Amino acid sequence: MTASTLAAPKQRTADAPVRGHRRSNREGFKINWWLTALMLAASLTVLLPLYFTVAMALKSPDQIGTGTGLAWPNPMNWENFAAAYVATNFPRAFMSTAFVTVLSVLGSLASSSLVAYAIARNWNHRFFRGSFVYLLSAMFIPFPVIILPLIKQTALLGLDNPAGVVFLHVLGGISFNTLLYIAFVRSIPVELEESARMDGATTWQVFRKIIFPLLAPMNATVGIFAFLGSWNDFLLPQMLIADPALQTLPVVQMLFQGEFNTNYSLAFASYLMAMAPTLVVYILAQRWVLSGVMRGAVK
Amino acid sequence: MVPLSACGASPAAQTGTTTLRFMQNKPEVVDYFNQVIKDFEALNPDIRVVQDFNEGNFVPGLVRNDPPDVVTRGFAQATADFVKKGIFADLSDMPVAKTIDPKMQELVNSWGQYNGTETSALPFSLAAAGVIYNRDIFEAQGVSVPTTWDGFVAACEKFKAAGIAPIYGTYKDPWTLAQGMFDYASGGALDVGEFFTKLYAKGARITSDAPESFANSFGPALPRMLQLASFSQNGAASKNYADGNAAFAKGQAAMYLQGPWALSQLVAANKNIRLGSFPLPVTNNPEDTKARVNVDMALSITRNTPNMAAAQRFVNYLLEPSVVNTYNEKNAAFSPLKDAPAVSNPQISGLNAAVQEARYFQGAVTYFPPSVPVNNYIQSFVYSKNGEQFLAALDDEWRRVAERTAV
Amino acid sequence: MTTTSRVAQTAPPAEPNSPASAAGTVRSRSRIDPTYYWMVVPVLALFAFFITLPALVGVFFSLTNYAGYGDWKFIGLMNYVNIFKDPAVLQSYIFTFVFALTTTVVVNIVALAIALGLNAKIKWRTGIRTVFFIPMVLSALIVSFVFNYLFSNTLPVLAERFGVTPLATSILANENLAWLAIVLVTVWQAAPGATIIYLAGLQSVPSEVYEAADLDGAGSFRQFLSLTLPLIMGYLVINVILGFKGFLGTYEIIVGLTGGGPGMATQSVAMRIFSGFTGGDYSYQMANAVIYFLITLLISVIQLRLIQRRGVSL
Repeated sequence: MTASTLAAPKQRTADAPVRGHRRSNREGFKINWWLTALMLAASLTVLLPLYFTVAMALKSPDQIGTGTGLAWPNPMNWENFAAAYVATNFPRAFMSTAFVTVLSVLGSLASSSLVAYAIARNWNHRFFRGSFVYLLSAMFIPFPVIILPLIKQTALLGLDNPAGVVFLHVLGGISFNTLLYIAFVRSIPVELEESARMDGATTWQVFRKIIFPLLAPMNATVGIFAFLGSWNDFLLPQMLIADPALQTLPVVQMLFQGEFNTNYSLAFASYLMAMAPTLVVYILAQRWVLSGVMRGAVK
Repeated sequence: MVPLSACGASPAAQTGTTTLRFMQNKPEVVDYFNQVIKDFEALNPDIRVVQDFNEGNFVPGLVRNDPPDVVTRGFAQATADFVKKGIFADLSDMPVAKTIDPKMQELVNSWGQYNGTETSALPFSLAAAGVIYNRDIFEAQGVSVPTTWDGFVAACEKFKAAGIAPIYGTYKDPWTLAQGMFDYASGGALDVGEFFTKLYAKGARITSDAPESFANSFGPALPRMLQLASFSQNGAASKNYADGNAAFAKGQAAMYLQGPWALSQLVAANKNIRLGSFPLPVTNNPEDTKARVNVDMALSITRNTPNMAAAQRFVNYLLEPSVVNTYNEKNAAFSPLKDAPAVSNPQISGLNAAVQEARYFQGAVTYFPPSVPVNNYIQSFVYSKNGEQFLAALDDEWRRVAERTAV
Repeated sequence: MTTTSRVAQTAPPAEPNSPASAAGTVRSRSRIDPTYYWMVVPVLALFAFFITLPALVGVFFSLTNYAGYGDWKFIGLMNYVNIFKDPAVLQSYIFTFVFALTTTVVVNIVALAIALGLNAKIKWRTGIRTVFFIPMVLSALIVSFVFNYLFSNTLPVLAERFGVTPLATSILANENLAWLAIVLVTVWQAAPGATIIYLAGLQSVPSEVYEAADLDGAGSFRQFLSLTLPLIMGYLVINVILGFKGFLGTYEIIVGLTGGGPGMATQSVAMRIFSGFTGGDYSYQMANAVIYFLITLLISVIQLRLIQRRGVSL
């Protein structure tokens, strides 16, 4: 938290001066306390459901009963987590989900940045512009239209497993990620590349050594969104992965949503365990998300 | 408790083992079957069984031509559709098939048999549903189990007068209205099985004023349904199934229109509760009283499985008396075997007579194709009380679906 | 391809539709380094195979009565004809439209308000910002389960205690108001994404603009209307277009909150389409999906045209 607080003012003054009567490097000057209070109150709308999820996860079935559900359980049932852990075979599902997510993120970063770079640098050629429009069109294709034929195709190719899910996450995200990257690549001056080329660098080398490192903030943004989209995805793994042993966490968690008896305590405990990695990754990386988006915008 | 990783983790490492995929879609008994599987594997070291509760993967499995080997599902319209399309293998030659009570097998076969004679599913567990009642409240008010409709109404009035809600309603979950009020009222008022057989036979040639229409046949059942609704507590519209379980368990009503699946929930919320069941009498002739049943689990083997022999061994094992009878006893259900022991569980023994004498019906809602949201229509009816509109909507919707799915 | 509103929460910082403003196009028009083709073509090929091909097959199936398994035959446009005769389909479209429209408006108002708040001089800005963005990282299904419990149990009990009778019965059980609960939860999850965009927009406005306005004696609300709003119009447009399209496809949130009920009140188009998988109604719902695709495409194109006509620079 302190690290990002220090980073924030630097970023603001460097890129976009703060609106105010006095341009100042320091926070704390003329703080709007009313607004702060308002924002704190508003943030309760987020914190309350989170608190509730945690409280439910620590209750036993007879503590749940009829009430607001906001009461903090006493005693706390930590064994809910253990039970959910065992019932969902958490380690294995976690590994499956991590496998899919990490590879999807890496694949998205690599493929989308490449495509975006090629398209951005050749925008005045019909082929590349057309490719971009073609890729964008996929954002409109509804998922149900392609899923059944896709199931057949992936089965024929031996991709009815997490690897197939990786492929589809990467391809599914290409339209959007390329959009993000193109805007960013445009802000990188061509002169950098030209001088490298004059020194004899090939396009691949230009990309690897110059462009990709410069894309760092956008890599973080795309990475985070790819991570979230992949980790939380339920529908695709449910229908694509044939072997139940290889299923991802969101699918495995439906174990607690029985038709006639939902085991709330275990369900909420497992929701928390699945939420935890996304929350951790988010908190660690959130400052890059914002800065990436904003740097691309400002330039 | 054995994690799933123990089963089917590395089939390659065990030369000569066949791996079976067993689709079992009730999450609440996944644990139980893990144990059953463990016992089976101990007796059959050359077979590994992997349990799969991800039902959303069944149709994809069919699409990929790689469906689970053994499947158990509740047997209703959707499963019957699979049967019609020849998805499941014929089990009539299996010796276990002869140990099944023919009346229960008929419950499955009445939906239609592939090629006219094939047995595509063997019942494993029969759930019988009626009125669950709180024995303590009944005794305290001096009410005995009613055997006629008038007797039932009188009992409700008595509870009302004593300030106890006669029935706990959970309208927010439309399925509770459908399987409870709607099915009980309609099942007792007309021959549901026969009605739907005729309706299906007409295929797409349904006309809105035909004698086999909801408007014509279900009319008499609706007033009963509304009467049942009138005996529910205030605010039933905002209570869901989970609320109902918690509240009924704490003694907030005398009766609960639910099936045996709710019993474990009730006991979990209040282990001291004393429950019983009786089939809802819808007429004043006790011999007409029927219980609603559904084949809660039926075993099938997919036709094109490469592991037919192993799959049959597994099905044989599941239908051994020690396995199937124990399961049903532990889950407040009725065993499908001919010589199954009488049900001793006091919570459901009140339904025993109806089941033994085959005085039962399969719920009307189970005959609806999933594309007709009948549960939601029923819920709308309970709120609007407009019976004509309700039945006309059912007829319309049914006809539309029949027209577009006719092959 | 999306089934939730997640895509709506994220959008490009700048719309790359104007080639003239691109700072880095390759100089030579005659020869393109073949490497560039190598960068694009493999991805295009995979894309065509895994996305376009199945889409075409799916469209083909909408012309049959395929159930996903078993026998089937070609039936031409019968599915489409039946769709137009089906009142449930029409109702789901109307509901989905009204829902998407309302949600887009509310999301943007809320997101803009939060962005303004986060952009102002408040204490603990980073911490508060972190909190506000949390809803975005959670899975839609889980969020809807959590809120289902809150709406069904917590809220009615609280309402009874404080004597607010209209809320004493669960809002999710009310045929007329259940959709508002869905809007609320969707906004909860979608606002953070839109807020990011607005923050980017707000920070792109140089402070000199506001200083000049201050010198002229303009109050803050006047500044907002006449200065801020027009200057971030591009970002607003992005949020609206992507948001609306995303909300049209709402599925998981409704599944967890109301399951399409009470009655038929909250059946969205996506829900009807998905119901086809388990109902042997697959090809019929595929026709529905194709129609949905055409409609969303049309709407987005219309939106873009309107924007270009009004000369909004993106």
